[in-house]
Amino acid sequence: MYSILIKGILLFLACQVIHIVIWRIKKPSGYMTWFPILFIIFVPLAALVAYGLVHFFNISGDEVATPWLEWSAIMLFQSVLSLVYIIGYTAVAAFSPSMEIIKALNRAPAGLPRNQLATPFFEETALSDDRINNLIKAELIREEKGALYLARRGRSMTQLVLLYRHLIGLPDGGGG
Amino acid sequence: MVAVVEVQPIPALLLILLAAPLGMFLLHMVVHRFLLLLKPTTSGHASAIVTILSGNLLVLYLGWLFAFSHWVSTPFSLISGVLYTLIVYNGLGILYLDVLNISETSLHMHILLEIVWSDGLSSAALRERYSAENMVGARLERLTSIGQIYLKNDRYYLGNRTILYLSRALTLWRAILGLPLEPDKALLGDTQSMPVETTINEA
Repeated sequence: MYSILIKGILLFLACQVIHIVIWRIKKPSGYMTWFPILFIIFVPLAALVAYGLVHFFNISGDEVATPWLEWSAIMLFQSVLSLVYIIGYTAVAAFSPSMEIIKALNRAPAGLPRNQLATPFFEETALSDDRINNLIKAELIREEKGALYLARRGRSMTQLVLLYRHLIGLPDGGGG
Repeated sequence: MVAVVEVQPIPALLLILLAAPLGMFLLHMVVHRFLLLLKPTTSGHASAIVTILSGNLLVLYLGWLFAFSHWVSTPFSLISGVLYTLIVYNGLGILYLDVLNISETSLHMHILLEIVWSDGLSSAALRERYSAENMVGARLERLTSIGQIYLKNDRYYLGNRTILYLSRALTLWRAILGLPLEPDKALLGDTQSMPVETTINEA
């Protein structure tokens, strides 16, 4: 089993090294650039490297089942860590409002009143006409006589999320 | 006559881990309702974190039944098996929190939900609900519910420092990747440049 763990850790670290080298050479600018690059490094490229590790890098003394099973276990490890990293990378690429609140409070040991936490940073993240227009263009919502309604695509997506919320027991109108 | 099927430890462990997200979801349904009985303001995030942490015990128990017990005589395999399981399971737990985030914090998803809940909403009303002021309020509420901040005498204070440490780790990682370390200072308002002495004196 330690062969799987060691190879899994080595594989993930190797992907991170490739990621750092690429970013140091040229930083991808937006989501549409960095997401495909990260995906290619951490999934298909990693799958090939894992194949090589399984077939050409033996760690003696460990009882491992078939090469296919070893590759599957390594790829489960790699896939989970990669998904966590790629989703988490959004917090690296953009600044999180919640973290900015925490950092502001850390700079103020005597605390801060609410009005000092509503910085211009939130004006940037607040809802604008552009965002509403983006949803209309994506055919998720439609506007009729000044009121917004869900379009067909938006309705099916929302029903799935509502089903999840209701099964967990989360109230309507919550979150945000 | 009963057929005895020998369970192979590694496939069994992989199956347990692949089934873990479904297990988290089912356990979350129970844990959230139970916590609501104890504290009616329990948030989805708080109950999900309790679910994922308590799920570690369940996964380790199942791992012991079907896999770890086979490796008692080979301590390296046993330790590796436990570490592998904990890393993959908790990684899946973070992904489960990401799914919850879609329904709880994603701005785009929440706009769609608001339209359902309101049955036709004007864009002006929607902009009001997602104004900077209301977005700050929602985040303060959520950070308070998970103990990261607390309110005392109309002032917010830093509580548990988990998110602060996480933000420091992100800053370090940004430095390694060569990305900017802070958002545009103009967007941070007074809190960025506020000297500590000023805030202490205010109190």
